[in-house]
Amino acid sequence: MGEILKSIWVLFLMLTFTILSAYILGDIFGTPSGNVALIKIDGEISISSNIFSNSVSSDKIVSEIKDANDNPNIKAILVEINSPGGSVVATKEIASALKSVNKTKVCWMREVAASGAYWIATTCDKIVADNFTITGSIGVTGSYLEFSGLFNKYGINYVRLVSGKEKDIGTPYREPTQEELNKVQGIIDSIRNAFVKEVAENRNLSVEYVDKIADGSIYTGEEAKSMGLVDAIGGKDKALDIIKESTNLTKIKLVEPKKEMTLVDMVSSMASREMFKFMTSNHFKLSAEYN
Amino acid sequence: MLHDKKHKLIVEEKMNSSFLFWRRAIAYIIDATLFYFTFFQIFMLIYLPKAGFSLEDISTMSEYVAHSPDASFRFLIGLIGVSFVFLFYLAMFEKNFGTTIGKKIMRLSISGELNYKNAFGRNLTKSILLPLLPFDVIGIFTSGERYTERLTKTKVIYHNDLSLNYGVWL
Repeated sequence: MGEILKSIWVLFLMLTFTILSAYILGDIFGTPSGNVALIKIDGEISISSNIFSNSVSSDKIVSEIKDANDNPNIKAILVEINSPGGSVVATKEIASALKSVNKTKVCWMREVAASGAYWIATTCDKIVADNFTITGSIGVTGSYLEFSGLFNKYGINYVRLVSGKEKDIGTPYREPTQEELNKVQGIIDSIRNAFVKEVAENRNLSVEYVDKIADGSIYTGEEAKSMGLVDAIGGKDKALDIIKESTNLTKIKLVEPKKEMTLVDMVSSMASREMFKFMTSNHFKLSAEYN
Repeated sequence: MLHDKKHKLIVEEKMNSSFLFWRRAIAYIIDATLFYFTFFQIFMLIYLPKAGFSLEDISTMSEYVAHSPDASFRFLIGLIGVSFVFLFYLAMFEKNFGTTIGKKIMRLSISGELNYKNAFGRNLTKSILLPLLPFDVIGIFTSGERYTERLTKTKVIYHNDLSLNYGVWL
């Protein structure tokens, strides 16, 4: 019996030593080194994200920005954007965090950097876009599907029990009143005006000019450059060259924020990856094939 | 013939170096394999994500490490860390049971003063100082024991008796 207990004790010690050493070593040596932080904004911008969505969490990005700003080894930040925009508050959080960084910031736009993503890009010192990057879309949308007609067709009634007349404003189950539409439109307009002011201030353009082009129109990278919305046409190399000029760095070593993951994160990312593969398999293709 | 206090008759056979060498080599391979499928996996499952390796990085590890000196360094640290765990495994088993799982299967055990210092010392070249193992092993052919065994005054003995009553297991 004593020997069995001894065996269990030895195994327990082994397990503890293994786990502790892995944990401590991972903590100490897990921080990648470099002099330019690469922060990726890839996907729709929102306050939080989950394993089934392609959204990027503003909390995560703000934390990465703060880490890069506090790290004395980091001399500049390269913000890589591939996003159609997202929620207002999440966008503003990231934009404010970037604005407060007192290091060189260069934005590198990929396929799409529109709406809220463009707002974030304007907080950088320089913006680099590809010829065919889709950007602009300066504006706000609050559109939603309204099902009252469908409900009426099938005899479904919406029973409205509210404590105040605006309590269920925006519900998709009834037609909005003109008053409600005006109210929401007013909110949208005020957000849009704030957006325009920010872009004008960040890009050193007049408010009148930005107001004129802020009708939600999208522009290619080339068009955006001619309009003063971006600074240069190019890719990553161009962005890095701009960083070198601004910081006098002769050699750039990009470092991404530490992607600390737990075992649960790894398994769930595996699940979402497998789901993504399944969903984009031949069974669900909607794109045309050219033979 | 030698009589051990605790166990039944133990016979220390005078085996030739080659016989002992192969039994010891197989015992080491068994221990390393068992360790790989257990504690090595546990270590890497915790260390790799903490060290900043994503699932994608791990699935293309050789490519990722080859193109990133920073990743190579972090991976190397992981390998060094796991070799310390292997040393701990070998030393703990030898100190507490007088043998390891691989050695037990090959009917081998350790004799001599097995305190923690000697248990760790005799296993250094089998774990964290692995590049020195070939030089250490030469001792088996010249004097029947590795140089680290001579330093720690321990010896590997072969048990010919079928009772296998020289150690304890789970």
